Amino acid sequence: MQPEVLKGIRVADFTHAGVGPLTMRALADAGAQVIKIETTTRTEVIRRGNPFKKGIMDVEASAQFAAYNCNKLGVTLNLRKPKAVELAKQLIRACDVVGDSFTPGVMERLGLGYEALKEVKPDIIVISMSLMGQTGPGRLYRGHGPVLQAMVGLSELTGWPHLPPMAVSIAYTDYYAPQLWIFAVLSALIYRNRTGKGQFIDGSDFEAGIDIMGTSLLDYTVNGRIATRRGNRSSVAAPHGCYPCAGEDRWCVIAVHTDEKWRSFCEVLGGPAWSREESFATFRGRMENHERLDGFISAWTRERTAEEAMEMLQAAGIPAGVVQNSKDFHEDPQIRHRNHFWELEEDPDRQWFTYESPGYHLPKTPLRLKRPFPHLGEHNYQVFCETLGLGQEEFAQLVADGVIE
Amino acid sequence: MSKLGEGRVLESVRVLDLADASGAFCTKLLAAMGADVIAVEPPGGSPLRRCGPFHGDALHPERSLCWFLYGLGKRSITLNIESLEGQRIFRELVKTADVVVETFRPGYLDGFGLGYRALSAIHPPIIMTSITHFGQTGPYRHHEATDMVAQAMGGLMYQCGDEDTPPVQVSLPVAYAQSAAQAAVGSLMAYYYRATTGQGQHVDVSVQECVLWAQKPFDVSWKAEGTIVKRGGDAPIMPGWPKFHVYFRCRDGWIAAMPTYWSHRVHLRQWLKQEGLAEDLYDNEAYDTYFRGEFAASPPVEIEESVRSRFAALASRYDKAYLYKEGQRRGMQVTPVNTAKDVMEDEQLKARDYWIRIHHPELGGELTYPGAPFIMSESPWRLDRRAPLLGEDNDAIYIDELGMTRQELVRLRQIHVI
Repeated sequence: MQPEVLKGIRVADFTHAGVGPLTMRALADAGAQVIKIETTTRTEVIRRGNPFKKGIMDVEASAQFAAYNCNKLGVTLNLRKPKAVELAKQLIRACDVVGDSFTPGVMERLGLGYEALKEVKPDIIVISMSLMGQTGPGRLYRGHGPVLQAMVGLSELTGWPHLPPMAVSIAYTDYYAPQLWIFAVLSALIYRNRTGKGQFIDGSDFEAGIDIMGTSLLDYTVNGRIATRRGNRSSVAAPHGCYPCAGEDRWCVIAVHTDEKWRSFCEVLGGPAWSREESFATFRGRMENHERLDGFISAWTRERTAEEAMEMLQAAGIPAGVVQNSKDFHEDPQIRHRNHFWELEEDPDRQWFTYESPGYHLPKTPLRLKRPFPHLGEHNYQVFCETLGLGQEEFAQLVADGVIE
Repeated sequence: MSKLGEGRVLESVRVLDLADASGAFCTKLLAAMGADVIAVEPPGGSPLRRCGPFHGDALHPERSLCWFLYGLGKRSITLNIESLEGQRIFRELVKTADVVVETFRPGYLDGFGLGYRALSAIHPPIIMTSITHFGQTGPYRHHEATDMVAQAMGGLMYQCGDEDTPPVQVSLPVAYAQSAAQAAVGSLMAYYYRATTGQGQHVDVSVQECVLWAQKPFDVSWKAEGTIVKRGGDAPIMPGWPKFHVYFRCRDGWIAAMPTYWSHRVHLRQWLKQEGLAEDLYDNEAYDTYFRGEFAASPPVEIEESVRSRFAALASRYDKAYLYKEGQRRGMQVTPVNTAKDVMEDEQLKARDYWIRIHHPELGGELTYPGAPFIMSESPWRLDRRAPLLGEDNDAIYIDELGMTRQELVRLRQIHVI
């Protein structure tokens, strides 16, 4: 069994929805023991949201919850009860990291704010992930990924110049911010190992998302230019676009950057008469006549599958790719080669969910799937009795009192 | 804001940076945490220096805004690793380094005896982070690609666009944003592991796989229900969910809102009422049920449509700044669809002191840059030096550190090794 990067690290996970759980999950993928603290009095939204196994609503059959929360243990505490807060603190004393994604102020009101937790464990690392951060006039503002990506500027830059802004997937920022949070937690662990000091990490999904915007902000402050969406065009390649292929909703993207590549491109297409037009000979000409060019190229792509078009162009060294959908990924030979989809053989009940590898592979310390997502309270006994040493009777009483749900 | 500590997470860590646009943000993050990141540029300059936009639209390697942004806090040396002498010098440098980040096609560095196997033989603790479009091995490893191709092959592009339009790219390199961020995570994991074991490793990052990782809601739909999620403009059309309407035109642009979000519907009805848009929303049992807002009940399409169009009418009356403030005041998810200008003027970011000012002596002033993506109380993110000029640190590294003489440096410059 190969070693794990974060073996021996224990994490108390108070997160819910997308960003927080994905962050915590990466730590679990890398070998940390992540304990997700839930409550049955108000199961989190993701457990209650589509899609479900076989389409039947069941808090134990939510496919999104499965994908975001595999590799974790699960306990249930009713944090409205003071005894539950005490128990949470006992758990935290045995942890290295605490993560939450509550609205700012909630953890403090529960008695689990950073100052309180420092008294429980002086070198604790706490990360609080919120929409706009722990401070500022917008700290209590409401928003999920779909509106956040509009806030950072992504929607303005997605779509067609003559059409309204469009979404980048459901909520692209929800899958970007976790990278910054994982990075910050790892940084804090490295720092603690060297200095013995823990710390508080204030994570604003809004601030993290701004790094996605790249140079568009500088272009405004320096040059006064406000970028906007440009369809499938590029300022450095022509042709550059998305072309319809044989079949239903099948497309191929193509990017041609230089005149040399343009010549190779024309050869692949069999050197048709239109490709010898003077107006297409230069980059500038191709840019100015792009729509007409697109028409000719589409006629070629429509006669073949997206995969064929990609292979023929790649053979000539031209950037080209299939616009892949979920079905394609399970047939994509490169994705299979990367072992992207993790399998869970021993748990037929939870086996059919998707569990995925991140895009970074560490060959000596591979990230992997060790357990499926937890059922509600599945590990109450294991965590409170075996790990924290609660006696059987005490445990039973706490369950009877609704402290442990 | 309380005072932050002065700790530097990666003090005493040296990174050799040979990354292009698919990885430059990775090394910037490492620099921000205190690492000594040295950009090892070809004598003609990193390809990033040829990326626009440019300061004042001046096509000059010292005016690339791409270089300005991603080069913050880094140092620069020039080195031609395609020459034998350059390779020898690189090996000397590696012995002083902890991490090498590169984005060349698979096999390129191996061809010069500078791949992971060769480097780890001379310096076992080295961590090499390699970012390629598809990975170091596999049937697509030699495929040519761009950020758009990665958006397509990674599944993002299929979801962007509308039911009656082709798939559309994001007009920004978002695939590279994802790959560089994930590369930073992978590099830190490798560094963390090495700190306890002394062992480096070769971190293999695939841009395609990074993009695919961000496709979770759609992949789960396929696995759980065998459905392929379709494009829907405002949001992909998720099976079992009502069609999202997120973007609403307002007087000076657009807002993004989830006005019919189940737990906010009561606030929505009040707002519509105050705007005179709520006739018959109160007399009707179907509407009452709707506004009670029970989750997981799929509302009837006619009700959703009726409520949505009233909200659209409301939005069309006002500016986005007003709608943002007012919507949030009423406890609803409303945000502006921000342009670059809007983001720069955002009140929350200003209140948080998010922006940083960096001095550019060559430009005679300061430029404003995005600041910390997270606030760590003891060991904060910090960048306070402009991106380096080409080879700015040649003397410091080659002469002061590696002990070359001035004549040697001149000779190597003349033969394009440095």
